[in-house]
Amino acid sequence: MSSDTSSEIVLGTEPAIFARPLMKIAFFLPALLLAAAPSARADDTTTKLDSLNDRVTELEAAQALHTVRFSGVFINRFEDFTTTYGVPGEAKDKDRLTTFSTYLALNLDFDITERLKLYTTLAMSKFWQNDGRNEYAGNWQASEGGSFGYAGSTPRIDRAYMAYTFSFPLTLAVGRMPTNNGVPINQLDGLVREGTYPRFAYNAIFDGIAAIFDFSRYLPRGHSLKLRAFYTPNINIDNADRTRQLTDGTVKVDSNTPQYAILAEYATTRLSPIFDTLSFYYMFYQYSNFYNAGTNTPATPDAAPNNPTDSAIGNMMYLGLEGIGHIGLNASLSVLLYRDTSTTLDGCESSTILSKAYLLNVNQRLDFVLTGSVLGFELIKTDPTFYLDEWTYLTVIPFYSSPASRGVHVFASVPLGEKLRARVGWYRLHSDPYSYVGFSSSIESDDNSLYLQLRLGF
Amino acid sequence: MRSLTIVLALGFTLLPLPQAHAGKVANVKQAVKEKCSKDIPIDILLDSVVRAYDCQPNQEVTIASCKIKCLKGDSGNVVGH
Repeated sequence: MSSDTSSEIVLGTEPAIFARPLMKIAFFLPALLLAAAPSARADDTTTKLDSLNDRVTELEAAQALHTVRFSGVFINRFEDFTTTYGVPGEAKDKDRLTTFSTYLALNLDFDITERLKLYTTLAMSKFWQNDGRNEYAGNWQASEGGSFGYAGSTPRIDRAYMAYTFSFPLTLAVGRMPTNNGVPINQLDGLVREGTYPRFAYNAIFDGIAAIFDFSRYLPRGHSLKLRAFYTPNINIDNADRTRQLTDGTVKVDSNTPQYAILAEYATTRLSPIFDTLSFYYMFYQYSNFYNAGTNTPATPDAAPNNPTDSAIGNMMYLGLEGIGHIGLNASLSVLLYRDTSTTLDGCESSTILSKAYLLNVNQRLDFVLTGSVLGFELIKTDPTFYLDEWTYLTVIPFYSSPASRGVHVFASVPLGEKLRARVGWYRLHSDPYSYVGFSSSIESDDNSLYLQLRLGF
Repeated sequence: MRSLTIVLALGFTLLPLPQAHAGKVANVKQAVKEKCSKDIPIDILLDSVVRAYDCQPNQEVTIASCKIKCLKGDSGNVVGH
């Protein structure tokens, strides 16, 4: 600035003397400007590259630190349930429940390292304007039921387990695991598998240790074989004093009663002329001297104990065919063979029971009408001695867990946008009286349930 | 000089994509390649990755006119999956 000012003064006083230098300046100035322009562009480019570099570094840092995944499920249901029940041949009673309910599950999954992951779920379910329900007879049902008991808005931890995957085909897991909501529950909404145990083996949440062997890498392409082994012991302990054994009458209950399960899963996609996928699961489970707290409370203190213990063996098979004829038709058959030995703690009584039960699920994807829509039905038949450990369900009607029953479920599910889905369905169930050691009912019942469910997955 | 600047700028602009979504870009490209035998143009790569993962598991997603299954994981729903 100062040099420009001096030039103006000079030019105004002695123009002739400085005419020659002025011409030089006039000649070189544009040249200087032209020479300076690329330098200015380079500076500008450098600034932009620095800015880009900073942004890229931030992205990479965020990615490196991005070890938490967030997801969830939000369900709202309407269910109109009616039941007519009573002793056969006598006048029947009738109940009608028109319910609204909400279920929320928030998943937070942590990638601790590349091989070590932690999975958690915080969830609650409730009927509207209704908190503090408790439909569990004992603490083990509350544990296996998690947040599904419609207890209220207080959340519960339904999943908290970590899994370490080795470089060889083994994964070890420990904690509170998603052993509920297994196949074929997911097919009601056209979703991928949502739980570990098949629903007709167990539909409950278990704490324990698991080892998973994945042999798929040793098989030809299109075949998979996995073995999942679980150890989920039941812990019995005094409700108020953790240093004391649980006592039933005068008999002390073992604090640790073992429970095991082995689930073998085979699947193939190499039957392309017939199916997209064929899945066959076989599950064996066993528990010994399981203490049924609260089933039969002694009439007087120090009376002879009469709560039964159960030792059971289950054999469960699941055959699933997906994409039959490559037209979006899916079908699955679940079979549960269950044998129970029930003994009272005083050892006076025991009985051995074998039950058979069947669940057929058939559904058709209607992608040619609306992508993602599903129409289907389920049929169920259970023996009088049937028992399914089912504690995580959102229906009012006990469709999947009632002994001596026959029933049908018709449903249709449609997507509402990308993440919202509506399902409407109708259940009908007839149950006869049944009686065996530990459990009995002298009534027969006819249940109907019409429901509408909105499911948001994110 | 200008060409070099453009190359550098493009390089800095495009390189972060596979780094910021390590593995996911390759997964999307492979899924489309396997399903429809086509390559995804570079200009729709970022959008494709987001849509292929921001969806419901088992849902179909259209990437470059090719329908693939949603690549989002199952949030540990199956132990040892």
